[in-house]
Amino acid sequence: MRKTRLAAFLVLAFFAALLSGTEAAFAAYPEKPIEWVIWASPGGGSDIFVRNMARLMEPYVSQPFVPVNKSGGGGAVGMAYTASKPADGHTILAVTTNFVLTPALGRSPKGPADFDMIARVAVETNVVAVSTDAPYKTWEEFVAYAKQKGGVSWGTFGVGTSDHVASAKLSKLSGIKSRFVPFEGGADSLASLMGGHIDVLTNNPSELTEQIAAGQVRLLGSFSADRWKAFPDVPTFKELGFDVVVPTWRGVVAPKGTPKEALDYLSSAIEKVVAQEGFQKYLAENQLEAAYLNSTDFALFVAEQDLFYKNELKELGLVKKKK
Amino acid sequence: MESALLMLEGFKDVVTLQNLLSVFVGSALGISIGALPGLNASMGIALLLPLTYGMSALPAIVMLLSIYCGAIYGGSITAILLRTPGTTAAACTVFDGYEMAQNGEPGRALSMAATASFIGGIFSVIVLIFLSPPLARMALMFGPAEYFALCFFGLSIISSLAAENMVKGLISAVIGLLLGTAGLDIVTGVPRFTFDIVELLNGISFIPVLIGLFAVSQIFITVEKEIQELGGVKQAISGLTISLKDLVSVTGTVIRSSIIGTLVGILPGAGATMSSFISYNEARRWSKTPEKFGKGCLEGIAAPEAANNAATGGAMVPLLSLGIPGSETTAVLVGAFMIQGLRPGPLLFRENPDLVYGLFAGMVLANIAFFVLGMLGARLFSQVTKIPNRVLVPMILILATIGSFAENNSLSDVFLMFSFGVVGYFMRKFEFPVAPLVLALVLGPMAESNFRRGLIISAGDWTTFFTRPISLVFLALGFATLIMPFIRMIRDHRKTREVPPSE
Repeated sequence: MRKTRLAAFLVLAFFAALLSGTEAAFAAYPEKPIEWVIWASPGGGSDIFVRNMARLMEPYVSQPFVPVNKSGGGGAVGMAYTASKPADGHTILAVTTNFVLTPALGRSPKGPADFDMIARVAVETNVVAVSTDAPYKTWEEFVAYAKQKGGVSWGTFGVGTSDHVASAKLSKLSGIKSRFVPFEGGADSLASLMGGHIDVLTNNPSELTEQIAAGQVRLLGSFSADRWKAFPDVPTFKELGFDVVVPTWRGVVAPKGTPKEALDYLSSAIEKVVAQEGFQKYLAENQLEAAYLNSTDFALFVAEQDLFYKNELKELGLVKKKK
Repeated sequence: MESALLMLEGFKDVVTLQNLLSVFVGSALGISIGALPGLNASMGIALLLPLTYGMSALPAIVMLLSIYCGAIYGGSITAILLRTPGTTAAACTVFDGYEMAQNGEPGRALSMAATASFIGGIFSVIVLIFLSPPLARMALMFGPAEYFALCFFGLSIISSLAAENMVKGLISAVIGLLLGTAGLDIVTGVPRFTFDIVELLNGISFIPVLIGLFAVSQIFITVEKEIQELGGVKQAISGLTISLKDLVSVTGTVIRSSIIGTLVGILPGAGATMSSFISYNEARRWSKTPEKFGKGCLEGIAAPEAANNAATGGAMVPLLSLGIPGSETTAVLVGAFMIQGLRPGPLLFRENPDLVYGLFAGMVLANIAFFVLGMLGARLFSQVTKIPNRVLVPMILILATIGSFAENNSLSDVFLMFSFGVVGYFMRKFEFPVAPLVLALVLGPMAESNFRRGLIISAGDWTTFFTRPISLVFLALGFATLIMPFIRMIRDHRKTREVPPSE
């Protein structure tokens, strides 16, 4: 008796689920929680960035976000995973400059062509930093030191990263012989700089603010187009006469073929969050600057960046020229 | 003296109901996170970070530190009971912990782990409070060349881990080194042994390999015994806790391991896992009964556990005095500080000394909390060894699968785990020691990348490793450790020759 009643209930529940399913298919986007793929591990800068945004976006989106970490391969794992998901707006991916760099280096089977852009959120910069114990105080002094010494060791985050591209271009234009020392993380390279094991490093300033404030690390210049708001005294390399503007940025994308209304829906929610004071404060604390671009403009921007970095990588000899 | 007074102030700040509650909740959560394979301290802190959004700075950070300390201790529980190290730092605890539990003394093993972790943890906090600035300066003296030398010393331990069968041990180590080369080459960016599999670009994930080699291989062996009806009879549990005599017998080991753990913990990038292996080896070297290691001896549990918890206080040294997070976990802690509008670093001491000392006091309490919970729980956790295998085996298998999946949310890691379960099974059947493989897989990539960094910095001049004093010392220690077993072999050989045949 009890068993048949249970069976009847299950059958009923099954049909109810079916019905609600068909109904939802006609409902407006979003119809279920949105999976937000993060291509870094929990706790890192990119992870906290997305979790923060997801929380702030909740009032503007009728379904919750579910952050999912798919880390590895400079974003390649996250791209491959997201691109394999249905393009219905229920899976999105947070991206950084690696979105164009990793595929350009031939390290990712998926690239910008496999995605539709939702929005650009913020821009970042890379800065060149030295220890305050070092004899050089400005970029000019550093160049003189490097030339006299016959070469310097320069900390970066591996080969073909935005900081490496920028540093390599800069040292080429300045006529310095640099030996680039790839580090796995900001902490390692910073410790090596402060310990005097390397002469100079390039990093995102968010990992240096404490040491700058404590007077242990000095910035020589920034790769941004304009002076960075947090460090108005630090010149850009463009100002110093070197044509090296290497932008870095963060945005959100979705698998290719995602409906336009879904892209616009999320894009406008992001626009509202970016305008919020609380979010701006968070960005400032992390050395990011709000720089919203809508779906169409972000797509143009990505295409332009793709071309820019491909050219730079070719110049540096990091990708083989197509025969 | 001044620090002592500030410390008292710190305790006054920390001892409020809310803080004590955060310490105990944090410790309990930390122990569970640490005990679950695949979930480690940094993930635990990252996942529980949102809980602290509404809290004020001191209780929030004290809770996260409690999770950290608790998780490092908690890793030993599953290592001892299930042969499944809950964290990589507990890999070494498996060797003697699991054996002792199987000999019917799980309570003794568990309470040894809790006590050693506690002493190691407290020792490191005391060092953190009183010796931070000079030790932080010492840490900065370590550049890539020094790290390479340290890794080389760490790797040389393989020769003593493999002492019983040198050839098989070295084969196991070489397999570990080879596995460590998979992934993107850090200097040139060339993918090595990735076979166009995107998941392999970051190299072979360590946790699934560890779970596979230890836990899954043990499952196969247990099941095999069940089928042959050799198992089934479980050892009766005796030895519910450690005696005072036990404690006295490991005093030297615990103190030595606490010092090693704290010092290695201070070095950015080295951390708890390396310190536990070095301490285990040192404990065996200094032991009067080295032959008992790996068969369930107390020192073999005390050494790695004191060391990995001592690494917690050590890791806080560069974070608080230099603002440099030396490990994955402390990097996540930076995020926690920033949510509170604070930045860990030298300025924090100047601007918020009361918070810093409150935090020190909180860390002392965190160590006390996991010790109390661990000692109370030891009796309860011991019951796990009474669970019949037909119930226990599927449970471990589920835990192992979830744990392997959890680190990267990746199914390929689950396949990796099962593959290494099979590898581990055959290694044990053919008596290849597993420890050298594990150690080589941890230290190999670190040794390689620092070796290459060191050479880039010196512009290709290899004498850099010998002309830098710290580097030279570690290389010398490494060579000494390498030739030790051979010297012993020759000595033993001579002894046997000197004794005239009695028949």
